[in-house]
Amino acid sequence: MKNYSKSKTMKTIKQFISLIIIICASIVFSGCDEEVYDMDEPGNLVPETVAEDPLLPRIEVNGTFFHAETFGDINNPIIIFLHGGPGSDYRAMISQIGVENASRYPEERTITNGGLSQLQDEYFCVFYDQRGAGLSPRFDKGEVSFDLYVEDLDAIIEYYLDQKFQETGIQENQVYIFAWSYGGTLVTGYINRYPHRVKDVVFYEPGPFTREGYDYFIENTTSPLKQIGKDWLEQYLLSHDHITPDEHERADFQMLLGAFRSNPQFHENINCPLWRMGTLVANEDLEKEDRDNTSNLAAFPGKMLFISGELTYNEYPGYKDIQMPCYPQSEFTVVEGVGHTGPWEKPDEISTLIRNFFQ
Amino acid sequence: MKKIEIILTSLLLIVSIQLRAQSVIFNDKTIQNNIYLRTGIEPASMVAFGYQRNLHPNFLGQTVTTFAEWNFSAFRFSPKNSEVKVGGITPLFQKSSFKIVNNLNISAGSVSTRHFESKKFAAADEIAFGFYKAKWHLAMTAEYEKIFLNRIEHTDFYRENYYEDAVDGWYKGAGGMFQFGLETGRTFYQKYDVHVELKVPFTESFNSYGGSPAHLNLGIGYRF
Repeated sequence: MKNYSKSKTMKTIKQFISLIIIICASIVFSGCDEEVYDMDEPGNLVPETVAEDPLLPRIEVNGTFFHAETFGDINNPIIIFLHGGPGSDYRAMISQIGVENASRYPEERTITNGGLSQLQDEYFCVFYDQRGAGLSPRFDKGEVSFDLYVEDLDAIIEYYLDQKFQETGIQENQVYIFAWSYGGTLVTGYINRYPHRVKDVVFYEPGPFTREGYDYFIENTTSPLKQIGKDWLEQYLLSHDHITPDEHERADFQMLLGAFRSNPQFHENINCPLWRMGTLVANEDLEKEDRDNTSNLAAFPGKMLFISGELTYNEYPGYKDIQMPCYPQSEFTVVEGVGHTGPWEKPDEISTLIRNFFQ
Repeated sequence: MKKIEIILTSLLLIVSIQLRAQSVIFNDKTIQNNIYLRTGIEPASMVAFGYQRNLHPNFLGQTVTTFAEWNFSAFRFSPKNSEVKVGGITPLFQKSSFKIVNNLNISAGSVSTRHFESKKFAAADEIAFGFYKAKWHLAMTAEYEKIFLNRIEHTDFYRENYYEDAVDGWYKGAGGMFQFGLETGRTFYQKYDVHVELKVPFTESFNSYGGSPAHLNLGIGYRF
């Protein structure tokens, strides 16, 4: 009798467990006619890179594809534009505040000379997403380095100088460069290695050229630890309970939560657009490493213009005094009323500064 | 009555919640209930309210501490940024005061960000190895949580500024996480518990979790 009772009890338990599982599964999959997407499938959470989307503009140099496009007449002097991050993209440099953000498909854009690409009337403008950043293909940990970034830039410069010669017969061996934020660190490392490849360079709030510059920047920047309670940080941290960043799509999707919000001293406009953030390169030590970026800058025959937004300059007043002496010829100017997203907020003013400086 | 107890125990074991930084009351035969408040960083700053009840199902032969918990973001206090957990703890092995204790849980959570809103459904299991005395306990913990389903809705802000073609819907593949830590607690005046837990999280591939480098919880409870 006791055994029969236990057997019946176990049967009841099993039936109840089955019922609960069915109920839970039904609740969870309510609307079960809906497709269940895979977070790691390209194109669901973040846009595909050139490795996955054949419609995106690209070039192939230095063993890989880069998301890249050009504006203007190739007969004109070449300007190479470098974005920041590391890991960001060039969307903000071809878009501008108050105008629909540039589509990743050139044929879908409402304007064709937005942002700094307005310089196409006088220059052949080249924009590209750095390796592992933006819509350029992704790489795994350890496959990207600062030296590789420098060689990529050299290969891209060579690519367009060669294209110019092929199409116009004009042989040149120098380009102009505009670099924003981390792009400035990269370009300085490039000029240090190849000082005669660049005519003149314009920086918008460049990343640190030296360890001293990096330390100054860190000392005057509010760390995330001191921002506990801030909206962006809470959102970013909470998101980790819902998504873990083991694959590029998930990691890039999550990293965007801090974009243009994580550094209060930058006074960034949160509406500044991006296509996609390259999380792995953003977390690589591409900026912090102790490396020689300046020992050969004295050989650079060109000029450097350091543009700062007024709001950022007020937060880092001593920064330019550390950065500018690295270059033999340098000038400084401030754009009023903007912070680190100045090129997107005041592209007309910054383009004028660039034109005047490169003349 | 016995059948009801068995059914409830089974139900709670199935839809079990992970015990995180909570008082351990399965050692105490004099009480049945515990309510607690917990705060800390896991994965962001949070506040949790919970209730525990000891059950003593005959067929298991030992105490099972079942509980339900509702935790909120401390700085974004809203049901949209909260999580419900239900679960059970039971010792798997014991020799004197040394125990191996298992927690099984299921959670359902919601988060609202500038870029997306997400609902998640997850299950987790934690094993604790340690010493459980009447008035204190100290244990090392190892936990694994798997997110098996999300509902993601992207905001207009995300579409306008980043990706206009983002896909809304049900998602799999959000991944999972491991946490390894240490927990300890003490009971005062036989009724009041204080509990502390420190854990280090990793993704299920043992990559950097990307959020807070450590999770810390502090809990206080009242037994009755």
